[in-house]
Amino acid sequence: MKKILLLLTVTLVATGVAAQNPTAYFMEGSTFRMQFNPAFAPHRGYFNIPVLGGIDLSVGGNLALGDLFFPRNGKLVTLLDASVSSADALAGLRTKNGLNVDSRINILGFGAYTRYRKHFWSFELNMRTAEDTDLPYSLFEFLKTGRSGRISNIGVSASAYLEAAFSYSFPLLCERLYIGVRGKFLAGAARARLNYDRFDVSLEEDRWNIDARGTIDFTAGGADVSAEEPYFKIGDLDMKPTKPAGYGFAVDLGATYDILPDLQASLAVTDLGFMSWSKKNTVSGVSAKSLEFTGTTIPDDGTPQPNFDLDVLEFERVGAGSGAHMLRTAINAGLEYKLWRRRIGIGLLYSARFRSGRTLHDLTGSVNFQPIDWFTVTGSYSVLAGRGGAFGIGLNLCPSWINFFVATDLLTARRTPQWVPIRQSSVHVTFGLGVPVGRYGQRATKRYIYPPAML
Amino acid sequence: MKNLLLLLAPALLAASCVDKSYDLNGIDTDEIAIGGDDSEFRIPLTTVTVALHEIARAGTDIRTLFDDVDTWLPSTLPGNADHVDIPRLRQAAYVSSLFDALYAEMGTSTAKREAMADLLWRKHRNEFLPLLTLAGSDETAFKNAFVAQYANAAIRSEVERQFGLYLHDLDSIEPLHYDLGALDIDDSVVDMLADNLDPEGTAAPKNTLHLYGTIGNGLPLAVALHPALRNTGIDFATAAEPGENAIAEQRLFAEDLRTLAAGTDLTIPVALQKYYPGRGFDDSHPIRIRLSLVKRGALKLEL
Repeated sequence: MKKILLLLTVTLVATGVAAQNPTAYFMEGSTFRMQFNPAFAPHRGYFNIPVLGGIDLSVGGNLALGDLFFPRNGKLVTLLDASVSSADALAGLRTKNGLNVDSRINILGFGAYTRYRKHFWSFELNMRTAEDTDLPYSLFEFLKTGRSGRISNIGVSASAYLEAAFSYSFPLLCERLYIGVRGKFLAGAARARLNYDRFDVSLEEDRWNIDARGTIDFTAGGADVSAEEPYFKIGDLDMKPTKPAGYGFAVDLGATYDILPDLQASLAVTDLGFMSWSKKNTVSGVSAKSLEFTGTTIPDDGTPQPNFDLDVLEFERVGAGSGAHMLRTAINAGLEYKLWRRRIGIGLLYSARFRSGRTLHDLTGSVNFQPIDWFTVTGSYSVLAGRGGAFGIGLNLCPSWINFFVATDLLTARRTPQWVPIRQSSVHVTFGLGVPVGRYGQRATKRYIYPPAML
Repeated sequence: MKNLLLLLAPALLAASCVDKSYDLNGIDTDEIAIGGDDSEFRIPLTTVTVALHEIARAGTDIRTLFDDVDTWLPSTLPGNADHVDIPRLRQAAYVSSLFDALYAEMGTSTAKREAMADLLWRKHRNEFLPLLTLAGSDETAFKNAFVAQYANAAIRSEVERQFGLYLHDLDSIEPLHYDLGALDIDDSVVDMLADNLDPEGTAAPKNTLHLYGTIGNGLPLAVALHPALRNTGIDFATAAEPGENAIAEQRLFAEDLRTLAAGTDLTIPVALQKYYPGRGFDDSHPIRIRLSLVKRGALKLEL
């Protein structure tokens, strides 16, 4: 139990950095915008500064830092601390509590318009990481009240992979409709998944019982365990990452449609695909532990006394199961209306992100100011279903010599000195730096070349 | 444009709020706890089953000691009492009242006279043969003679003497001793429990540990027990009527807990208090003492 609590505390501390915001969606001209919808394109071809070309950190879920940490007596303590009452600790929690941390770092990226400046292609090499934590209410209820509990689905998973993506977008219907497709080849670096599908604790007057079953999967190049089989612990996991530990493929599909010259609808499905992790490079284990204590008997009736050191973090090695899983698919649907000679845009974005076992819905309203072609500033407010809201701001600069964008919803949130929002359950930080190259696309100057019938 | 940006950035920063009480550099994980001040954790500790043969005096178990008691006692106790008050069996007046009731019943019940004749033939024939003026040791003749002469003053006197001798030592039972072995609990768990306890003398303690339990008494006797655990402060008296009886909570302190976990001896002096005639002894229903612990307050863990 002590080790489990230690792991849980570390998890709380490690995942206390939370965030997410789609402010960048309506930043016209930004090279990052294509990540939401491959039908979008920047004004001009580009070459990203390696590693700094596009950094996106986002954390979502329904937990805010303020749900997990509490200031008490001049110290910051976790909700498991004795000084935090069960009422305070449980007040901010839901039946299923999740925290998802995602990052995308663009290692290499470039793109260009084709000869006739209508079609746009791009190539990207990204490092992507994803981490999910699932902490059921019943776990915290047991820990804070000490009452018996049937706890299930405690899980932590993380994965990292390289993504090589090629995008292509092109117009149809007299350029009112743009279609974009991105094909992504994925090379897995590593993944780990620890899940307890059962962790029942019964503390009755005449019987203490713990019944736990957990599984672990660890995949990486040369993954193995250093301990004597068949049992191993997390610290026994070893790897020699000399080659990919899995491969996958995904597509992003998107479209934009100009309903009116100043009204554009957009729709995209991203990360529609799978990753297949190599069985050969996977270490899997099962921890099935139970303990029942009804007290000693005098005279001894032969009932064996249990070992109270119930090491639920010890696993028996088993054959690796299927290593294929779907990626975190997302749907983005947007609508933007341009005003004042298209210098101000009012946008609405609906996002749905599919996580294992649940879907997160966000709705974002946005006001976008573009006084000149190469400068956009965006302000947004996102309603995060059942999880509060977030103000965001974004800035995109793309004059002839630089592409720079930054977007975040951290600025206006009540936050820690480390810039982690306290009450906001989602935060998004996006940053990118690149160099414009090549010809301008027609889309950048479209408002000046619309056929007279559309103007 | 530059002016706009310059104005915008400070405005946003001013609107944001840095809360230094949430400084993540100062996260304290020293006092992780399960439960809170109002929590109660009840833990089964041990079940002591006292067999009939263990409740004994000088090698004679309690069933044997009480084998003939229902014959010696009148079927209806004085005052229609449902039990015999065993400590009062050392009081002559109380014993006399029982004996008078016995003889009264013998006067009206042939079965009781025959039961007494059978008892005396088995246990005390040598004392009664001269009084019944029987030369031989024929069982039938003995019983017939006793049934015919039971009211004789000399015979009644001898019956009363034997009655008194039998009942006089009925309350004398030897103490029970048990070796409570060490519990297979990791020292860290014991330390966790022990370190959580408020020390003796703490005003309004919130973190306490108590021993409590039940006594299941399947004997036709009410008993007074005085369990004591060696090298601990656990030493208390409790009474157990036939059936389930609660043992009141006894507070434990850190050293008591460590002693318990390491193993100790349990001594239980037994004093018989009441006898309920006619219920009999049953091997399957001996005395069963269930001891549990109740920890109040949070279980604090130092990770």
